Amino acid sequence: MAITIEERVLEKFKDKAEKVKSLPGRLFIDLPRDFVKEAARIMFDELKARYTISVGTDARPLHSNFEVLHFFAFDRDNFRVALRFLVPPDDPRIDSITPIVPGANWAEREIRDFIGVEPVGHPDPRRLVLPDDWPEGVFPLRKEVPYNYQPPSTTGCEFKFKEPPPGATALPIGPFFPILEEPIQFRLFIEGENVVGADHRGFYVHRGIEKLGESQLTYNQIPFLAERICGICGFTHSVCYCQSVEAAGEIEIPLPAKYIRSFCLEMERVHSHLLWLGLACHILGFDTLFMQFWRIREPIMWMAERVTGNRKNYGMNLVGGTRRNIPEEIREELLRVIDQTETETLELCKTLLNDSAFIARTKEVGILTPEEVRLTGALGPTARASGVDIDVRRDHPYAAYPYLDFEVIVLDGCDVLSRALVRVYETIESLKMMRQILKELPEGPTLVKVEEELPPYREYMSATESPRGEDFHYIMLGENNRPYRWKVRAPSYMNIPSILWMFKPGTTIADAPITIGSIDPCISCTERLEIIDRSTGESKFLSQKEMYEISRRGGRK
Amino acid sequence: MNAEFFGYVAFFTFVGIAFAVSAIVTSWFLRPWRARGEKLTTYECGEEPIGTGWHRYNIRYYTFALLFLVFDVVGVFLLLFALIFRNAVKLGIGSFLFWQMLIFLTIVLIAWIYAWKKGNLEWV
Amino acid sequence: MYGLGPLLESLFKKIGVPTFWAEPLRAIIVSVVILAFIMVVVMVLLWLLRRFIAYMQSRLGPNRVGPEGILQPVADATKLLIKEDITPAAADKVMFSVAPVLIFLPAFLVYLVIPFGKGMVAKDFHMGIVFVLAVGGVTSIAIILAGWASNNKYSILGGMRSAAQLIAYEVPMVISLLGVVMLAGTFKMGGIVEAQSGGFWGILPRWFIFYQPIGFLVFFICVLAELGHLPFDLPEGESELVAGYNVEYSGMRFALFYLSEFSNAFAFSAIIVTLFLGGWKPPLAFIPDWYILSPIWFLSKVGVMVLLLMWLRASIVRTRIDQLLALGWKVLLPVALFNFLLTGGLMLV
Repeated sequence: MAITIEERVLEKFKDKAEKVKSLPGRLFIDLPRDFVKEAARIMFDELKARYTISVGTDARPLHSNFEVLHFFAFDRDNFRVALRFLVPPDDPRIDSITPIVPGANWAEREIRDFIGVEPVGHPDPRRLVLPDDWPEGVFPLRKEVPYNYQPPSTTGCEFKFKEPPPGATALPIGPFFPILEEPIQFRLFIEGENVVGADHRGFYVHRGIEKLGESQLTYNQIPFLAERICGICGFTHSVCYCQSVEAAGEIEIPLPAKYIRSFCLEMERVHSHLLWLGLACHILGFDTLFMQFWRIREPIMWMAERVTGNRKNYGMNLVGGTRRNIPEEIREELLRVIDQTETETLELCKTLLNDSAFIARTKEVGILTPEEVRLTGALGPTARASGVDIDVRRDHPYAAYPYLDFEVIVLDGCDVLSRALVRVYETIESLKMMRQILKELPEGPTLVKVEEELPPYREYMSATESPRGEDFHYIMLGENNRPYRWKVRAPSYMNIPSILWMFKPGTTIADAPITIGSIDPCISCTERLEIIDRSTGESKFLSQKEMYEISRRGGRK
Repeated sequence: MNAEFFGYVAFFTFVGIAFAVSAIVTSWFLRPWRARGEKLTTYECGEEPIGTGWHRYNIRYYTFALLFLVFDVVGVFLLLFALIFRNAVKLGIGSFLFWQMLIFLTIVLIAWIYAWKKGNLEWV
Repeated sequence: MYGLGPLLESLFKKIGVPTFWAEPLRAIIVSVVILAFIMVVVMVLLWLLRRFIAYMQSRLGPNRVGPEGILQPVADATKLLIKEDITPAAADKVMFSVAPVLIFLPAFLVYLVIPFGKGMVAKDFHMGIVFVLAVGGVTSIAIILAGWASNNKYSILGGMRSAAQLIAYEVPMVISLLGVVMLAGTFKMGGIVEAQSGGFWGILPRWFIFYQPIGFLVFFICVLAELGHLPFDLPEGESELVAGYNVEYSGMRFALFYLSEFSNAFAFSAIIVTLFLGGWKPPLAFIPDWYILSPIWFLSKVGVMVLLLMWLRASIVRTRIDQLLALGWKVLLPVALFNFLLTGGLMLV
């Protein structure tokens, strides 16, 4: 009899495990703190698990320790493992796993910023999320910090970019750059037009959504907040959140609800991929196709409005199902829109892919090898274009995907062109799935009533395949209808660091924007951020610091 | 003829400059003057500028300039050749001139191939 | 002699202008007419470009100011005139101001030798083509100057790119012209147009495009590059260099860059028409080349050329600088030389 993956993992840790919690498809193993590096090595190098994310939790009210969880996934076996390490508050340090798992770079810095657990031996211990004037020693995700706390402004914590190599010049791309819709900065180190190095800074506009979800909102309010994490792929976050709460609370949702969730997710994927194809054309200076892609995307937006009542932020999800079904009488109409979109997409993509200049600009640009995908934990089309065959819809089935026929598109070009092609084929696959869903959609109620009082301190993690890759949510239920810990890991969180790996020798400035664009970065997702509008008085100029000051006062002068 | 033409060039140069300057001067009187502080900084994607823009550039730019010089001078020779070629053909010395030009071009072509092989036509 | 020149002369005689003053007076009138013409043409082109590309991209384009948005360029110009004009503190202030003036000069001077119609040329210089090439070279100096003076990394890179691009395409441009010069035996613009008179079988006009298809193609591509139009708009590559050499410019000085760009687009289209498409000659050989119709023929040919440029602009991906330079040095240059030798050989036979 073949041994299951669960047994293999337990076998590796049987001497060290302090506590083991086994849930369907999920395994939580408590391990001693000094074993963290070895544990990461066993999971990542020996068992070849995919690194997912690390989460820090302030669990002092429960057992007077901080928790650091490292999540790994076995995609072939639909299995996820969490390694839990308890960190005492009087010595908040833990060995960094970044030297073994480069993809953990951001997550460990985020834990340091938010919870205050120092990753020892981290190769790049700069501040990641918190703004420059946030005082040292204030950790916003600790439970004693109220959600609306505004600490006094300090100086001395300025973010330090890496120094350019000798002879090179630093050229920033972002935060305010024509092709970037959202603020993020890549600092390119250039010699002539050649990129010889790069550095990144993001998190300019962190919103603190996790804190809000953990402190103020109840389970059934959060789906609407989760949806607002991202303006493009918001629905996937709300599905992912609902799934993890449902799984933790052992709620089985009705079948029609699963179909509707899948439908909306695929609808979202189609419009997101079309949007990206348009943007890629725009980045390459091909504005005509940019406009055309957005034109054919419009019927999908119309369809979203017809099905859910909104073009974006569908507001369909609740814990326990969806709020409504797709009315019988509009299904014919929707099928027609799907057919039309399919024809038009094929037509436009044919135009695009027959363009030799487009091919010349994207082929062998922004190479990311399969091994680098493994190291950085890159996801979604970025990974699949490098020949890494992962797709949550197939590997960790959820919603209605077990009942749907679809193909996972995997190409092995490793370049920007392959990423574009993966998205083109996926769009077609998604349209097919939408058609199938409309034909097979079962009748019946779409929502089960959920007792608001879910049993506290259960935990679960769930994932969905967003247009950009695996979206991962970890939830620990709490008291008063509120989650104790809610962690959101958007796919771009793993994909953005992989951009730095794509700047290989020979990259020029002209390649940089399309390389950055090729992962379809969704910065709001990554940062769970907020832009605070401000009205400046006439002929008054604000320095960056003054702007922080005003933002901090909630926009009041 | 020449003198008259260059008179025109000089006059047009004057008019062109006068037009451009007067446009700037007109806007000088009409536009607001509120530039100070951060508004005067160099645009660098919303960040404070890192150092100066006047840094060293790749030497490649200059090899291109040299190549250009060579081929532009060739262009000048060829232009004069082209100008008289029609009459030369009429006078029956066309083929003589043509072969001479061919020899000249062969030398230039060898230089061009050399530059290509040396990688001087690549943008690095 | 026919044309506006003699007309003016007789007019001067009638009013009694002394002979000494006749030529300067003519120069003044001509320069003012050309300036006004440039203004009108640029505004029309601006509007046309925006509407045409909008049409190709299934958008509307400007349609609010005046009927069909025709007054939009006027509004834009006014806005730029009263807009704050900032010189960055770090810039080289003198050069920063000189660059926009310098870039307008070649754009204006080129019009000196363009034959708009039969005898309608400001001054038909016997070195016409050489003059066009020489004056065109100033543009790259102005662009480098603008990029450098801004002391902005994107501008300097834009300026450098622009310089590399302009010089890489100037060479094949000169060489592709050789065929035309050999056929016409003159540098004079008027002479080149005259050399294209007559027709095949009395129908097809004897334009140089039929004798010099390769030359035309090379020249056309080089013009695209010289104009910095898509697919060769690298100096301003929006997605990588923001706006290239004119990032820091605002207000009227920015307007001068814009003005020159559009004025150049017209001028270069006009030069293509003059050299390869028979200038002001009628499009069919049997149509008599009436004096009064010649500017109409000319302007409509230029119009077609301009639309062709815009069409390309809306339908091609921007190239990368290494691809662009490879095309210039490794493809266009040998092709142009081949064309030159082929023309010479055929003329000998």
